[in-house]
Amino acid sequence: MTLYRQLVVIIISLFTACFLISVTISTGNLRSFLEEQLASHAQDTATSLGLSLSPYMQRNDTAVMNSMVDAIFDRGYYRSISVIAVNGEPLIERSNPATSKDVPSWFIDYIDLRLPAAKAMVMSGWKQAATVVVASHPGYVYQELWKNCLDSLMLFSLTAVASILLGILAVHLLLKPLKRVEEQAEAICHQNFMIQENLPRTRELRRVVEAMNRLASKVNEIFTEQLSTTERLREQAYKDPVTGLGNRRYFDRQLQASLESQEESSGGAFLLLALSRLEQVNTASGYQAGDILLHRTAELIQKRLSGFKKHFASRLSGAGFGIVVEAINSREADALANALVKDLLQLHTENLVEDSNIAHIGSAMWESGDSMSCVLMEADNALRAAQAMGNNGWQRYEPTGEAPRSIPGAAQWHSRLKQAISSASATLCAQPVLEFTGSGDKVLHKEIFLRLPDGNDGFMTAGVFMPMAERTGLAAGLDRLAIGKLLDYLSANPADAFRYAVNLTATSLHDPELVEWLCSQLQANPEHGQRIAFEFPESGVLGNIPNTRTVVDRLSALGCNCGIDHFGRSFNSFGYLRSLKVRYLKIDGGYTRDINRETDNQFFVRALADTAHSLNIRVFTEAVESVEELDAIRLLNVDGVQGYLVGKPEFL
Amino acid sequence: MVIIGLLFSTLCMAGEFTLTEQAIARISQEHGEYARQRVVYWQELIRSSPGLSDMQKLRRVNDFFNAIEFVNDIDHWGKKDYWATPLETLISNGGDCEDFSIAKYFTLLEMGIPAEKMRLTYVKALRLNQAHMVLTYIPSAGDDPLVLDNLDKKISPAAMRDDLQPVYSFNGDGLWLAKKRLADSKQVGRADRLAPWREVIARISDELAQ
Repeated sequence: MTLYRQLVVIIISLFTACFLISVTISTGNLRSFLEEQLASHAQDTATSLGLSLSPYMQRNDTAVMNSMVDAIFDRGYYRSISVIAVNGEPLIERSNPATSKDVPSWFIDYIDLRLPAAKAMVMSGWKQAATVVVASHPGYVYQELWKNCLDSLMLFSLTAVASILLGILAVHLLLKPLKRVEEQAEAICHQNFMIQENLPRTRELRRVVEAMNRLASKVNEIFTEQLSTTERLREQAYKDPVTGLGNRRYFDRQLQASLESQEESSGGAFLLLALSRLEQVNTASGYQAGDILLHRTAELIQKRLSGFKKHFASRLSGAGFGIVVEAINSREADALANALVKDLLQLHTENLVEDSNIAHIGSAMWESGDSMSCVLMEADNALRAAQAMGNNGWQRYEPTGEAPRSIPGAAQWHSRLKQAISSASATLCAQPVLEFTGSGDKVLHKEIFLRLPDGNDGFMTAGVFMPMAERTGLAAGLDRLAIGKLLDYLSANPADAFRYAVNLTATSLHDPELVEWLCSQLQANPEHGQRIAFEFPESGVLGNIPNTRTVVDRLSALGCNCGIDHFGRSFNSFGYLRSLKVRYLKIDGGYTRDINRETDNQFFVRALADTAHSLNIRVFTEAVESVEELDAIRLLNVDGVQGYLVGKPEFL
Repeated sequence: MVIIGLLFSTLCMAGEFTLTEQAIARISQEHGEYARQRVVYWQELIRSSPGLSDMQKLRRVNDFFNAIEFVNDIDHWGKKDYWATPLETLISNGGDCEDFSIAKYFTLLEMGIPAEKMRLTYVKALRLNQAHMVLTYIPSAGDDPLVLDNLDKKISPAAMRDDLQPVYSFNGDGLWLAKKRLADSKQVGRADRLAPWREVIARISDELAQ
């Protein structure tokens, strides 16, 4: 029962009780008073009539006596007046039996006035000749009593109604802060730590609101601390404090992951950059100067790399930097190396290095499946050659004895992909993602990858053509193709109960036309919406967080889950997670590598999982390939895994 | 003298018109020996009445009270129209025509004379040209009443009292019953609104209630 109803019931009961008590008391009092009035009125009339009649009784003047009785009877309000002789003979009688019309008979019966007749003597000289009996009419009394009851009822009813209305209004106003407290609690559950600014005046309510505000602030503090702890852990493990780039450990993980992933990348260039004069700067000007040099170098490198889509740079050791750029060919790699050494000349003009011999670069091309030590060694060889060449030299490792691979150029790729899109000649593959549940491991969903025919009765993995698609502006088209194929598959296989996750590239995510198309497709097939999840790469999300938020909200409204892929690859703060309504994260495969041996990784993944859980976001790890890794991951509060160990992509 | 009326309310009485030893002792203390004596005689008068005939009772009561001096209310009580209780009249040793009539009425009532046989009659005293009150006694219904007066100290039939013109009579019994009801319903506090008759009844009932 709501407070309002309780209030109404209480008020009505109270007023009814008060009314009944009040009416009973007042009716009782009024009745006694009026009864007495009636009696006294009758007695006074009897006495004066007796007195007035006595002289005429003595003279036996009945005419006058009748007249007198009439005069009194007609002028007053009597039920009856009679003059009865001492022998019992009635001499004069008048009566008016009329009853009051407006008063209900049940009321008259209930009140039941005592109406004794008043008597007085009529003397004749010294003797009593007759008795005059006067009975007052009770009609007036009943009317007054009834009117009293009705007036009371009216008054009480009006007051009760007014009280109820006022009470409801008062309760409503008083409870508004409570409603806001309720909203506050809801908001906190959704990581929105709002504070109530307007404190209510009622002391008890004010205390509740103040407590709620303190709670919200406290939880906010805890969250923020948790996030920063997680970030710190990662930094300690993977960030080089001087340059802000990844450290050696980070580099190893990332390169290994790139080399092994077939869906994400197919190849690229690795550049090993070594500063020539770091030692000298340290000795001559101190380590602080050396740090400044390193920091500036990193800045310049990152600036040059910002033009590329998929890349990362790390500080490897002392004076060495490792740069990996995916989806570029050897020509582009050479152009990059050339540009870099030119950029680094600035260090000399900025007087950070005295010598004009700044750095050397050794580069090697790699493809998916190559061994990391091979790639590193090739680049190292190239670096030695570059250093032997002279100032600011660069070299690329050329494998001897192999025919140069024919690398299709951008234009060729463009037409090939366009053709694939228009002919819709693509197939889908699905890789299961397992979730840890209380009753064993279950398939959460299957991640979809596109496969295009390679012209030789084989298939190209997404890692091969997707980077080129992004570079040639056809990523949206391919994503559209993949989604269309999936929707067709779902329509054709209503018995398939699995859910499917689709990747959207960064460009697609921020392409309004594609998003519009996607939403309209989902609206047209609402039953499929529940079964599809969308994943965005972390780099895409970070590129435009507000737009990502909008897209996520739209897709969530249509029933789709959204997730972030390759989470943790960059060193950004995680704060944006609090306002982004994604349902899950897939931690970058780099962290999974040998996690059973890497305690720092374990700390980080565990902390990330805890933080994400308090934001109601689930956490999965990618690229799980050994049982040891899987066992270690089970202990880290992670929600599930993906990887060749648990399932390989298979044709749909 | 008015104070006496108030003091009476503190007297303890056992039974109607029967005073306790303590009450009599107090009267002696506060009003003197003569007062005490008069009260004692009055008690004796009442006590010795069983067995007497009506006429004997009438004569004794009439003679007893007629011995008291006639004083006007305004001189005696300081009030214009004060109806004293029998006790007040005795102790103060003075009263007017109403006081005499009341005293005789209640005493005779106490002695067993039925209320229907007695009337308090308003008369005009022709020789004095004054309003006056007497007590009348009717031996049986329809008979000529006997007059108990303080002007003429002898009891005589009404027909013989041609110096009195009857105006109106009170039958006290309805009012005596009313007194009982008043005592029961505790309405004695409202003396200021009642007629003098009701007031004296109220005060008598006060005396009895204590």
